Amino acid sequence: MASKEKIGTREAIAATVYFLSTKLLISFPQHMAEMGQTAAWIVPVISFATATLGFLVIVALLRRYPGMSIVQASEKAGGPILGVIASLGYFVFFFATTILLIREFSETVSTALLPRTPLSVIMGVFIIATLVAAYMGLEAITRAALVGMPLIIGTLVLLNLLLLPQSNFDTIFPLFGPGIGKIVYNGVVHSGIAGEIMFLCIIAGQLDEKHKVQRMGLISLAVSATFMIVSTLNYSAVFPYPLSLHIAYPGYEASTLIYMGRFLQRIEVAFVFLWVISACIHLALSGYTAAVIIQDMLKLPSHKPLLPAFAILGFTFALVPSDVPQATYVDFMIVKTYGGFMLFAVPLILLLISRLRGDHNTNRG
Amino acid sequence: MGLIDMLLQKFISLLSFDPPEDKTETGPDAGARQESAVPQRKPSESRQDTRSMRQRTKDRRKSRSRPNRVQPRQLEGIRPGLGLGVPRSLPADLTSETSSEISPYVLTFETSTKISPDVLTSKTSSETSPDVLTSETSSEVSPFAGKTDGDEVKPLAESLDENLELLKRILHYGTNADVVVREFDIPTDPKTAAAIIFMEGLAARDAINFAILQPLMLIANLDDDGKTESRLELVKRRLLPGNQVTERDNLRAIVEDVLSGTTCLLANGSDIALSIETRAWEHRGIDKPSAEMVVRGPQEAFNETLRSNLALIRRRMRTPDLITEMLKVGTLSRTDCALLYIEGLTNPQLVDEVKRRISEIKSDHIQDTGILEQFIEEKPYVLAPQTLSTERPDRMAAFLAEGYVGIMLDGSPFGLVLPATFWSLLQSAEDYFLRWPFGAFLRVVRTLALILAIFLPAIYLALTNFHPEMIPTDLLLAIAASREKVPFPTVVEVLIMEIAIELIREAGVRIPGVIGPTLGIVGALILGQAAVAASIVSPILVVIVAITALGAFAVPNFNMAFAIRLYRFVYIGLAAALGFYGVAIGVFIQLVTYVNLKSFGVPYLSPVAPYTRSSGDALFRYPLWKSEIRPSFLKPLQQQRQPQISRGWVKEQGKNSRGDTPQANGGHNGNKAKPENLKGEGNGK
Repeated sequence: MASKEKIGTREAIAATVYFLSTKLLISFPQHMAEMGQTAAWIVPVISFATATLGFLVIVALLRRYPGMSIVQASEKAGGPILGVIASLGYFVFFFATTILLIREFSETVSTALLPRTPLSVIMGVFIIATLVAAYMGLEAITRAALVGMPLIIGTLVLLNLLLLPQSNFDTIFPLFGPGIGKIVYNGVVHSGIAGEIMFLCIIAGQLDEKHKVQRMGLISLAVSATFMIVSTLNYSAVFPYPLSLHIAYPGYEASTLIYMGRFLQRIEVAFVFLWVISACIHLALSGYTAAVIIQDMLKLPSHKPLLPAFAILGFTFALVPSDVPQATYVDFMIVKTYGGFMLFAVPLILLLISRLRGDHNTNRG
Repeated sequence: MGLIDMLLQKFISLLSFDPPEDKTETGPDAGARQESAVPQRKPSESRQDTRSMRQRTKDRRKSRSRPNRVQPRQLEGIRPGLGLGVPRSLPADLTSETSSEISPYVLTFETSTKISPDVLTSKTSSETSPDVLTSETSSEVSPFAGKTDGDEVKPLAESLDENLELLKRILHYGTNADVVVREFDIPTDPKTAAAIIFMEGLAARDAINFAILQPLMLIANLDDDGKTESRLELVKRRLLPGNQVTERDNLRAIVEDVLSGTTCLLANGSDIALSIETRAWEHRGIDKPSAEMVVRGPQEAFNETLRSNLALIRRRMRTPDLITEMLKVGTLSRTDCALLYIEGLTNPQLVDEVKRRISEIKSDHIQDTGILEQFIEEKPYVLAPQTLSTERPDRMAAFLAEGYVGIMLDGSPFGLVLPATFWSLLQSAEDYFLRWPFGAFLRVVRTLALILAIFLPAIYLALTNFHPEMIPTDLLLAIAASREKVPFPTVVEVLIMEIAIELIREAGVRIPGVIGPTLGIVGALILGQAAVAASIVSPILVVIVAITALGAFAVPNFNMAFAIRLYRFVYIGLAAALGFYGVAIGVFIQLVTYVNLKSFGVPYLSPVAPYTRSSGDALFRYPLWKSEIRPSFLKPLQQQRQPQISRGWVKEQGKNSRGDTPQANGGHNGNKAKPENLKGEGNGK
């Protein structure tokens, strides 16, 4: 049902990496510290490992219905009722992610760049930019992600390198923080932090090389996990526990610490400039994904008419959280926690149902 | 009337060598031909029509296989070697009774003398009320006004007077001083009345006098050897020493030939005219490039003459596969448009698409590729140029060798290269003429120039207005001190200087040549200095604006530089409103617009996004011997530009072209280099 745009392998990987990694730029490290204390960097290891297993389950389900997206496959496997419930679950995850990210990114911009500009203006501009991109379609967004890939890689590598003088790696001890059991539990429960991998399965029907979904997903997960783990480790070394609990935007705060002589200092603005572009790509992807889920679910010919409505809804809902801590709490403690179950456990149930029924699609579209 | 008919019949029979049955067939119609400019069709001709369609297909194939010989549409379906009085085969679609279009053959002579059938059959005129078409005023409209390519044309009559009368009226002879009609007799037995028509100034006088009139009037020797079909054939074979003589059978072709400088010879009793190449209008010589100058490399540029331009390209592409297809654009201007590509290399779908877009243009006057590109580009509201214009024949040839399609227009010193990619607009011919590290360095400099030209004023605004903490303290103090006396906000200051620069640039172009450079100095130095002294702008801003202007000048493509000038103002607005945030949002929107943009079906940011195989010739440049493949986004029929081992001489030293030992490269050395088609191995765009 989705559009006939064809997405290349590199574009798909770039977009997925963007989707998975951009949350590093907001309060992700703070939440990792909350869950893992001095072992904050181990939590994403567990979460990404769990998400990888979940992704393999989704791919197994997709393989039973070649050429279909996960929304269509869910409906096929679980029937109209369970299929719709599953699709609604995917939609809620992506739509909530979009809304909360709009708020969180806007708050970051407000803090770092435009403290005197009303939040609604910043949010409005964000939404207009992402609406334009989502309207142009997946091809445009994924290609923009491919062009912008050096941006995010360069930013993260540069940031980590420039922070090395400020880092003290003694702060990561005790190595397992609150204990292995707790870390593993938190990591598994919060596997939703890599839930955006579902994006690949939602656009599976539009991929140029559909048979490579698993490979694309694994590459994306590996690259993103590396970014997440290394960056969280570095932030933990710069902002030791429990100080890290009180820093809302460790990425931004860390960038303010960069000092390269008298001439090059306070270069956080340059980083935020690049992060805004990354955030736009992320938001465009998540908004588009949410719209495409509804399009596939309702079998609409196009996702475009949904976008203005989603934009207005997104703008409205993004203003609902009273402040940033509330928004980040909802994001990490609710969406990313239950989202993981929704994204990985539900496809497992559907896969089992499909196997029990012996249902599969032989049409290799 | 009967007497005239009889005499005419006699005359035709004298000139013609046609079979008697044909003559008897034409006999009863002879009277009608006086009334009608169009011969009445016979049932037997419908069979000829079918054949003519086949013939037409063959002709098309022939015209494809012979790139240099342009086959005008008007000649399609005409039997070769037509003799006088032989009924010509007519295109089948014209005889079809079910045809919805009005056939010019149905029109009577009286009607056609008032209104040209071209007007009646043209699509533009079909939208006009029929009353208008039959009114007296419409008879004054040029018969070719609003005429489109696909319309049919009026055939020649056998009577010279009749043909001349029509041609004189079409060409406004008498009113139009440029039209010359010279009537004379060819000394045959009996004499054959003839006339030549040409345009003064477009045709070569000497060629007409000595290569047409002199042999026809003085040394005519038409002793028939019995082998040729008609007298006209004899004239063509023996009396016209011109190197290009073409038969024309309709008014439209004749008029177009005359208007392009060719001389047309008409003879009484012949419904075929001879078009003799005499084009020799005044034109500018080959000059140095003015917009794409290089230090090292060819110093030739296109001029306004299509033929010279095509010759300049062909001189660099001595392959028979270089095809020049001729099209006409503009219903009034009827400008010659040459489509260039390499048969067997360029993607035929791309060629067809370009042809389709050009042939679908319905406009009256297209005189430059700058106008043409606006009719064929995909997204007119996007600032980015979607075609690449070049004035360098070497660059055009290099693009053609890569599988691009070229367009040259008569009267335009700039050719178009299609499709255009963003990266190609940042490249210069010199990149390839220099050794690769230098060429690559130039590209990096140019990319930096592009970034500065678009963003520098916006960054300055964002920094000073929103993020002063980023500016090092000493510099911040210097800026603050220099701005102390300036009464305007920074954005006004920036706008004043940017507008001043735009004014200087525009005035520099429009002002008469002698004063131009002076104005540049006056504007840039005195105005800037005076503005600083008057505390209208700060000195640092003069530096910013000067660097920005230099950056824009460093962009090699004029259209791209123009787009950058406009983008700059957009970014100034965004930076003034939202600082770096606004600039970042602008970059994102521009990025998605660019990745979504296509030029003739090719993504604008190819080969980067989407990623496609290429020789890495985008933002950077690698050694030419490593450029083994053509850009795959063009889907050329021959992907390989040169074999993997392009430097065959390396084998003599026991090393391959990459400089490795054979063992290090799996034994793949120059000796094993597979011979490939090296045609088109040329860089230098």
